[in-house]
Amino acid sequence: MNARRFGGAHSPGATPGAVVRAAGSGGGFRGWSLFLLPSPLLLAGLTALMAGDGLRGLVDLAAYADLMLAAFLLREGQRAEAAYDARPVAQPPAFPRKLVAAVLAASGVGMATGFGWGQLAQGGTGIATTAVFAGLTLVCHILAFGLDPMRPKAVGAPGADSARIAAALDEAEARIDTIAALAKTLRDREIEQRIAALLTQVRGMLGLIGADATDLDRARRYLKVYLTGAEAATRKYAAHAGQTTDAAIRAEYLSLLTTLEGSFESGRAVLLDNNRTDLEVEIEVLRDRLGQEGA
Amino acid sequence: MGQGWASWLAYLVLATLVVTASCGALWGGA
Repeated sequence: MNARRFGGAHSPGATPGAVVRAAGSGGGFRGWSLFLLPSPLLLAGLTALMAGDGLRGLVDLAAYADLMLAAFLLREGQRAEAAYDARPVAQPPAFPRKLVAAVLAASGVGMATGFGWGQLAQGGTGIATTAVFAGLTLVCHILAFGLDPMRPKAVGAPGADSARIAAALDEAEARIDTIAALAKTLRDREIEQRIAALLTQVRGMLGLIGADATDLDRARRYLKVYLTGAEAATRKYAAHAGQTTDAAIRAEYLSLLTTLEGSFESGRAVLLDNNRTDLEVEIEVLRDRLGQEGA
Repeated sequence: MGQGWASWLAYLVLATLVVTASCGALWGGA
């Protein structure tokens, strides 16, 4: 019943395919537009340089570079945030990209207004204008795009070692990606679909692990055997399939996939029951089976 | 994104600031 208990709004990873859904969309256009909007500044810098006003040209170009860096960091920050959102357990990004992007944007607009536009040279009101432009830019940037996620996310597992969990989930994700990529090279619709279904189930299990981290050690061992076996078998089959079209090898591989599907069902049930001994048995059975046919 | 409109408004102000400052530098240089 653990799955039910933690399957609320705060465990997005419990939904299979959450990871795929994470990238892009929402704020994408706004983020990209920030690369284009400062274009007049580039023109201003080049014009000033050609007119022999070197200092102003350099300031304009510096402000332009500043804004480009800010737009770039914002995009990186949005990507990091999407990855963070997609995982049930995650560490906050080490470098606060969106915050730095906001500060850089403010300084870029401030430079452009104060020196490029020449507001600072106009005394009182000009100085105020520059300050308002820079200040508003900072505030609006943060309001429009938000700040980076700051705290570690460990759904349903207060005080758990979320860094370790996140690392374990990352490793499993990487393996899933590898297997999916291998499956694609096979150019075999049936196999591709079955692997995709299998990986969707595994992703669902990752969500469960994230939701109830007490399972982590056992689940991680199980997933490691499981995914390592699946990867090795797929790799081996991919190597064979490239050379021959031997129906026997394909049948054998398909039967292994069936085994994996069956094993996953029982492994998942055992994991949900919190039955330690049974999962150990499952792991041993899986090992034996993969030992025969996988590696 | 409960405050969708607020974030769009903030974006529009931000875009206006960036464009105004840039165009100011292009046409209004001291």
